[in-house]
Amino acid sequence: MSSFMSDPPGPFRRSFWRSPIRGPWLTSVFGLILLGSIPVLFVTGLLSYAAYNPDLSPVNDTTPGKGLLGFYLFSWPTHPISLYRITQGVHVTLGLVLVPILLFKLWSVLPKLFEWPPLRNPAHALERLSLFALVGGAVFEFVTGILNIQTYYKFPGSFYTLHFYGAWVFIAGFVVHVPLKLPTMIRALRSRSLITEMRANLAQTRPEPPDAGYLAPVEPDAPTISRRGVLAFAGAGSALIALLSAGQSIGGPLRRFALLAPHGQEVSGPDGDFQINKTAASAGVNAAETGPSWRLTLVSDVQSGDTRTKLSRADLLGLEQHTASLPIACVEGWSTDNQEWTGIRLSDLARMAGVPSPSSVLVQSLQHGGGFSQAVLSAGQIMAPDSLLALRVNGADLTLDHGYPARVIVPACPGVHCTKWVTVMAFRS
Amino acid sequence: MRWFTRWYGANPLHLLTMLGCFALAGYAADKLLPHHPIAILEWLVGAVVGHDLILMPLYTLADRSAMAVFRHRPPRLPTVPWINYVRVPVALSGMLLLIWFPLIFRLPSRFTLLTSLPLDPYLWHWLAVTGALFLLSAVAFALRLSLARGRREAPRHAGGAAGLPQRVPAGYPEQPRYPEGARYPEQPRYPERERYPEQPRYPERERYPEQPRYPERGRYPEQPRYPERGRYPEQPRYPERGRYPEQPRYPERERYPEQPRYPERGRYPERGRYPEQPPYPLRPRYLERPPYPEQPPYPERPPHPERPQPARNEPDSGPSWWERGV
Repeated sequence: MSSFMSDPPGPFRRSFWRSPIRGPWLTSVFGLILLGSIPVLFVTGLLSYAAYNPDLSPVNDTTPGKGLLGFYLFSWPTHPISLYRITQGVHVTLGLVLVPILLFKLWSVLPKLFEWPPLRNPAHALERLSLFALVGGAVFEFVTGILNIQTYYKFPGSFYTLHFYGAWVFIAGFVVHVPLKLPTMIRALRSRSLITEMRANLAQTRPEPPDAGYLAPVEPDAPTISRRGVLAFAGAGSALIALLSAGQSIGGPLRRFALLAPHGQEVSGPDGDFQINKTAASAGVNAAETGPSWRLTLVSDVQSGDTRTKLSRADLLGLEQHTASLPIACVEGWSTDNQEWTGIRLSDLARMAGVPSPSSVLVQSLQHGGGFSQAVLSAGQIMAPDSLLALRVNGADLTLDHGYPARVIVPACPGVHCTKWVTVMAFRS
Repeated sequence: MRWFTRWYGANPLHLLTMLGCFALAGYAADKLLPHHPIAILEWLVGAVVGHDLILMPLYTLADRSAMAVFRHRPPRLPTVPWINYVRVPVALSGMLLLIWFPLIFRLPSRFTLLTSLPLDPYLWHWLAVTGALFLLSAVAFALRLSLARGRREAPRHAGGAAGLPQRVPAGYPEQPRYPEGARYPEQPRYPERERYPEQPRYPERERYPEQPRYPERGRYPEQPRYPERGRYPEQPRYPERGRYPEQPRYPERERYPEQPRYPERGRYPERGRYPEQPPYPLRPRYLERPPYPEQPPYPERPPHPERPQPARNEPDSGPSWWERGV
């Protein structure tokens, strides 16, 4: 038994791990990149959660049981108009770009999974358990996010629930991992000079000394790649992913290179058409419902007994029209450039409904069931001068897929809250 | 407190941090799990197992196989290490597949209905990107190869795995570049040891009490101690190692492979090769030791008292037991 403990089999033996470049220094370089990026990913994720204004109404709340995990929520602003476009573009694109870094980081620490003895003491046991939250949470978050942006809903349950609570499990592992490993990381980074490593070619690549830490090999093989080669390898992976997907968020000339991004393709509609998250066909909205019989119903709770105003599209076109240049930004990370939306200000509609200073509005769609067939907008979003009930876009009537006869467009608001095929607007004072 | 630290293995702050972590993770998991507890746990465990125990071994295996396939095919022309020109495009293409496989294999059934975009192009996009990566890699390899062959000092690698060097390039006389497979090839086995089987087991040795035991010397009289070699496995910190300050390129050095430095060399520039230079102040220690003066020649060793000497060149006396039919 004691010989088994001292001479474990296979990968549990330290000499099993031969890579001459694996070692604390390389792991620390990848760790440093992740240390800078994961907080950005986490914060932009929480911002996206806040952008839905989940505290405003149960309608907006995709995770009703969030409890203390929604402590930081605030009313989502409407300025700058590209706010959500930026935060969510960063969240999704950075997440994709970090995939190779994460894979290299996990590769570099793989011997630790087979550490021997597996549990040295209670502290070690707890630490390894926390690593399960860290690694399991990280892979879980990346997988659910990456599948969701491709509309491949194979994960168990609602994406919002899984990705939101999963993020907290992951970040719980992350916040203990960082302080525990920070001294090790700093020591390892200081043990070798980055400039020297960047100058060392394959012939000059030497293994890290075995006493530098558990990750360093005790019986290294000949190197087949230098350390700078590995860093360039990971960097090339990130750059390639960025090139092939960032265009769906940034737009402009980069969009042509977004060959592997769900919304990187050019839309095949008329000139100036743009991306759609949900078509009328998928929402179950048909031409009959949106034809001449369509009416917009304005509801308010001011007077006793709901006051109801019914407006046809012709009535709406007769009202004072405003034009706003706003992007559509989706939670899936893609966004459009600014489009010229023309329609009636939401604040004007609130006044028509008899609520000049509303606290919120519930916007309902013709859409039958499904997620986000209705949304509640905050007072700030209603009163913003650029918030419109749009009837036209880029000088033409809305197409059915873009929400004909009327849709909401609010600056800096997640796309799913810019309800299409609006039929009821219920203002609350 | 000391008792706690010894039992627990870290200071109490560590325990506090851990408890905080598990409180937060547990709180989030408590919200997460009621929805689909089994499926979510499967996903969390599957995430770790799938990556660490399936995906990672798979690509390690692929990498090693690629190198092993070409291990025994030495190229006729000098080459440069090629493995990374295969490894990088394969890995990058595989990574794109890993991320975008649902789109590439047209798995999301509602994609076109939802977005009005076709699913077809992604497979072709991925193939095109993969092709471009291999093309770029091939161009880079061709450039590198032509540069290496154009130069006179191009290392003439004997080939082997990944085109990595098998022989020692010029300028590194004692330090071969770790030929793959055999680690530290100069260290492990001393075939000289088998040549002296009669030495250790002779009880007659006690009769020569004055014979000093030079275990290293007796067995390896011609092998001086390589300070570099002994240090290798536990080498602590060599910041200077990357620069090889101790290995200047002295072409003369190959004649004294075991003698690292000749500071005296500067004083006798006209001598050049020092073949007969009498005193070597920096000679290895074994040469300064007295030469076995009292070691008697082995043939005069007296026979072992208890061990009867086998009769030589004499036929066996009589038939053996089976011939006699016993």
